[in-house]
Amino acid sequence: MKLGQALLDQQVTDRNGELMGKVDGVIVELRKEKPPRVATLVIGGGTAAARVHRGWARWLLRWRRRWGPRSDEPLEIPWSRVLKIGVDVKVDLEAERTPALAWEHWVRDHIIGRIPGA
Amino acid sequence: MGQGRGRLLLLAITPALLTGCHSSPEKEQEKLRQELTSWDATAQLTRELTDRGALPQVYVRQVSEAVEQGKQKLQERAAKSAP
Amino acid sequence: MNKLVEIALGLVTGIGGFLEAGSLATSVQAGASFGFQLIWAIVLGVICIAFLVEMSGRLAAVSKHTLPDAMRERFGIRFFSVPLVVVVLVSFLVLASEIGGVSLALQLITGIRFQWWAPVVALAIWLLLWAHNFSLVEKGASLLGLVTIVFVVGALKLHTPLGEVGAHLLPSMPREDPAKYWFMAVSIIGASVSPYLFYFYSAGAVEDHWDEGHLGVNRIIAGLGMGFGGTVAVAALAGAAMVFHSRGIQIDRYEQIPLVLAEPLGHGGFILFVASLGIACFGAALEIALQIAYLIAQGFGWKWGENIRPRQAARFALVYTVAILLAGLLILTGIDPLRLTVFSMALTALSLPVTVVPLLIVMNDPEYLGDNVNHWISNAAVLFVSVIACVVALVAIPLQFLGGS
Repeated sequence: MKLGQALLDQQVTDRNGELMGKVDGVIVELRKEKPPRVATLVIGGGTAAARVHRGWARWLLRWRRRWGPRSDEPLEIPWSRVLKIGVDVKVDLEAERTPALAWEHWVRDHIIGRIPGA
Repeated sequence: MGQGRGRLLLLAITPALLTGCHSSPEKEQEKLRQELTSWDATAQLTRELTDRGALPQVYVRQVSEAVEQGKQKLQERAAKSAP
Repeated sequence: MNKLVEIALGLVTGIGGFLEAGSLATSVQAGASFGFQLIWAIVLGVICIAFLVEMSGRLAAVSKHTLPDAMRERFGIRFFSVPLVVVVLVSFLVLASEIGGVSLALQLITGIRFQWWAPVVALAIWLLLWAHNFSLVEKGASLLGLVTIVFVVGALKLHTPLGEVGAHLLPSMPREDPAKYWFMAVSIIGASVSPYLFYFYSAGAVEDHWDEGHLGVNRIIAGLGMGFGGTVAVAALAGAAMVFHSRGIQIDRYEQIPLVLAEPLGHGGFILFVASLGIACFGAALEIALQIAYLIAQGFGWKWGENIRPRQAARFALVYTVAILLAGLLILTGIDPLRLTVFSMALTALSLPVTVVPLLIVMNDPEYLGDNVNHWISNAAVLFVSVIACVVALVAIPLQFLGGS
């Protein structure tokens, strides 16, 4: 449990050191007669908003479905992919290939990229 | 810093501030007089500096306009508070 | 050698960057209305910001986290969202004030009203950030910012009685108009202790890959940089005391302010005033826009950086673009820039505990700072100023509004 807490809101970087986002949520696995353990790290998909305020999170999700990338699902990273926990949480993935950067790419393609000089 | 200390401080300062801000008609008149003096003195200083060649015309016009507008507002406020 | 260059640069930024719209407006207004009486407010503000900037640098050097990054981590998204929203809102108003300042500088020399300059100024700021070479721009702006030293020259030329200055380094009670006095006092403190200064500083330290070896440099930059910068603000106040207070002039319009340098220094003084106003506000606007983007990007773990292409940090670029756009629009509406500036400063003071207490908590957390946690003096100094400023602001701001000013 403590590890889960410690992981929450930490910066996540991919195997190349690229910034992927923050640990917005943690899925903990409850086991019989064994201490619970962290199963999954969750990034995005309105997970962080839900922790601030459920009502606003719902409103935010509705708004996000109107605009933005088609797939707005949170990225779930299994514990097995975690490489190192230090200043950041390094995971064995490539940021560009994951939905973690879905919004980043959407903003780049639809807004920022359209402005000359980007 | 506890809530209690904050409140005490508030209680201590408020009367001092309130007595200073009590807007009696004399105080209001005094305020208007001070502001009028301020605008007149601004105009005066601007004239002095213009004579010394320190200020460009384009700027002098802006100050004069500001003084005009300031005095206009004063007149409006004086009219409101006059019996 | 490198460290010396860093110190020099840090000092230059501290001196040149201190007197932006907020400090200028509040110092000059205070000098005009209360003579030398409010110098203590500048001193208090400078002490507070020096401690805060030092903390921000130390955090970055030791923990390798920027301030927003550390804050989100330490407090979780729920509590972080409060200082996040507060700082973004207050910084936005200050950004608009800076754009207003530059626009006014342009109005003063051209005669074209400031609001029409707002889109031009906003575009210029945006273009410089879009060109993603901020390190260069920053150095340039800092060097140019040294023009604000003209205020010190002006104050000396006016034969400012240094004894008077010294006598008012310590707080004193107002002799008249206490509501205005305390309102100005908190505005001055808000102008000195701008959150954008210490939030921005941590980002720079991380980008420059500071480490524990930089702690000494950090302390020098924070102390001397803010100290010298504060001297420029004191000089502006002193100039206003000599030129305006003695004549019974109070400052209600930006247009009156150039007189403070025109009187002692003639035409050159006028030109240098306009240059100071324009350059200092422009530099501050660049920093604040970036800081708002940093705060949001670092808080959410997005890519960020002052020298990356917009394409590569799209959300970050979007944030500063929107911030600048909205701030420019606000000035375009013709809102009184002087009032906006002074009001934002008072609001900054009011919100200080919210922006400062999280930093203090992080700075006392050995998980982030190891052996370099705060000394009790730093904690005390910052906490004292923030809480007092907030409490006084709580009373003084509504009273100022009721007073109809």
